[in-house]
Amino acid sequence: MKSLRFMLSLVLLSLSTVALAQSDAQKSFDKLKTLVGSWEGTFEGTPIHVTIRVTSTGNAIMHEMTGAERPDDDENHPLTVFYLEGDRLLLTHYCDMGNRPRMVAKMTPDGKTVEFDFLDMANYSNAQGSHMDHACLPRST
Amino acid sequence: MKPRIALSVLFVLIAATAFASDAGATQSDAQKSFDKLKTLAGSWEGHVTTVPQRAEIEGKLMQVSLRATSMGNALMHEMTGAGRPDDPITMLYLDGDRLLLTHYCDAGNRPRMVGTMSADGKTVEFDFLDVAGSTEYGHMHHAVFTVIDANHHTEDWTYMEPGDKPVHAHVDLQRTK
Repeated sequence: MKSLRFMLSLVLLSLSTVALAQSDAQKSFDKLKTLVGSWEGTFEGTPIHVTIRVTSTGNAIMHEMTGAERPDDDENHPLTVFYLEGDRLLLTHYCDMGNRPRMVAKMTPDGKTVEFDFLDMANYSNAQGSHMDHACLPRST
Repeated sequence: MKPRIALSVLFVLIAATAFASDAGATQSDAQKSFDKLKTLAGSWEGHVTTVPQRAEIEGKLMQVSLRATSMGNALMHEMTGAGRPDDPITMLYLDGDRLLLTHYCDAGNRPRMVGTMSADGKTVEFDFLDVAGSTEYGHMHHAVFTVIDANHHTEDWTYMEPGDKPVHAHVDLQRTK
């Protein structure tokens, strides 16, 4: 009986953990969707322009960053796609360097920031010298 | 004995050279296909036909946008249809010696396909490689881009409905920008 109870608790705990994880990823994804629009800012003193929009019937978010002086159709800017994969929120960064790092999201304890940690990378070579490794996006309130 | 060693070394060198030139040719083919697809950058529109016919999209006017991003390392394809909520994006890029695409599907999954160019250099055909995410509602399985001229190209997309039932969509596109 004890082992049955223990097993049942374990199963319930596992289920609730899965449900919570999935809900967190979806919640973060939905929050990022509230950032849809055009944004201006600076990066290391240089003006930048960011466009965020939802695509694929709500299944993906596309993020593009350009220098403020560049036209929208300039090809010299990276593109990042955010999407849910099972119970995780992932991003794939299509880097100007030609590589494609993927990162996995976690929410900061204060719930204000979605932080992306490096997961893996495709098409990297030493000749490229560097790659995108980490990203933070503040949650709008 | 010494000539035998020299002969073996020679064979190894020949084999290595042949392999290297083979890899070079493959890489060059992928790059060539990618460059060909980049010539399609711009805005396009055209009508879609489906087999078997799907009333919800048959004959609809589709808009396609293609543009290079990421310093020319990626090509983004976006397709929308009049009165349709669908807005899938597809990223095309080189991965080593292969040309790949990832289709961010309205069905919520992300199939990848690998491209090869036809002998006449006018068509790039993408075969299914793998898929991430649930295929509960089906998945995109195959794509063909055919360049007719600078202002005219066609796209053929094959969608696998649940139960692996293919639906083929053909779009005849004219450049608008």
